[in-house]
Amino acid sequence: MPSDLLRITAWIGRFLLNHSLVRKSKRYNAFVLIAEETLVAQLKQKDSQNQAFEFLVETYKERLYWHIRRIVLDHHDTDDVLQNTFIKIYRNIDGFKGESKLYSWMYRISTNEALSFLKTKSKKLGIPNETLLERTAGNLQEDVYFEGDTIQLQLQKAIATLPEKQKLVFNMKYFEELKYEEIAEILDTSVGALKASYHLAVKKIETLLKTTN
Amino acid sequence: MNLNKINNPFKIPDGYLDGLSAELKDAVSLEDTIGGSNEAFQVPEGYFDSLNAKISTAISKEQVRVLPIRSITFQQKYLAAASVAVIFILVSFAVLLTKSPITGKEMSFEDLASSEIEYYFEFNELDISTYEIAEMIPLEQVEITDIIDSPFREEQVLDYLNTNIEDFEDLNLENDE
Repeated sequence: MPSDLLRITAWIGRFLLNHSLVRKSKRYNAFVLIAEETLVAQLKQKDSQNQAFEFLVETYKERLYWHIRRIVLDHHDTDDVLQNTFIKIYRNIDGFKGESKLYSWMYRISTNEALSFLKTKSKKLGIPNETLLERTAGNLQEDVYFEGDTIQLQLQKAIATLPEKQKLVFNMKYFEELKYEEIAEILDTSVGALKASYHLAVKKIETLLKTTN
Repeated sequence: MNLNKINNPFKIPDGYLDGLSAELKDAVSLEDTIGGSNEAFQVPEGYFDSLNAKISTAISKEQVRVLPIRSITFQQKYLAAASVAVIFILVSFAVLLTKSPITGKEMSFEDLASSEIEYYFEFNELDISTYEIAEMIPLEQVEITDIIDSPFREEQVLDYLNTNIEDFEDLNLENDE
């Protein structure tokens, strides 16, 4: 019976996550809150933990993958970071107090994991973090998992030159279409500061794209 | 029915309309420059289908294996006693080795030069992020004087922050970590 319940919740959850119109409704938010509470409780119980975790991975794997991919850019690096993120979530779920939403907490872990990964990688290569990202973005043309046209390539190169926070905000707002309130919870900052960061990021990207064209 | 006579029950957040035009301008001008580019990043075929199994394997590797408790046989008692004896001998040997060959005194953490400790942190890959360090060392128990010997004034700190920190939000540590 619990497995049937999880399967139904998983189906509804995925349906809601994949429909942007539903995502904006109040009923969706209420459902997410209830579903999250149930899920967290099941994740903390030994007998339902494995099934609940499978549901969690199934529901969030794609969103977290794309969030990490836009930070580290390379597919194989993203795969490593994503696995580490889910391992951390599994290990630390008992410490999740519900002060923030579950997905914000997971996004925060994945962001920290991705940024730590980049710092470790640049340290190993003996180059600054910024150089590593600009180099990775510059090599996207040769990446078999990148099929962008010239403008998309230039856009990624321009994003790579942004300061860390502006880059995170730009990706989350422009590509992931998260609301400022959601980004504020994930990055633990104010909506006003985020709007300013996004505005600055847009201006810099526009200037860079116009000068390269 | 005169609609103007009815008070408007709907509210909007303070300053919403002030910021709206700037936001729209950003969105439109960006769309003009980029031309509404679609997703350029790709994933290998079937990657997401195999991901669950991959993560389950990674987690089961991480978990410590727990052996069931069984009744202790004579042979196990003998093995346990032998292990205790071996540990005792090894510990005694280790204590003898930690004594300095010059002074004959027992060596401790205080005997290490600061330069040796700094060298260790500089040249060993510790792979610990700042928030992992924050998790291990509760900040409430740490005073600034525990780290820095020479005292400094509040104005000096503010001067430093004004000159060196671009974004004050970066100084906040995340919650729930």
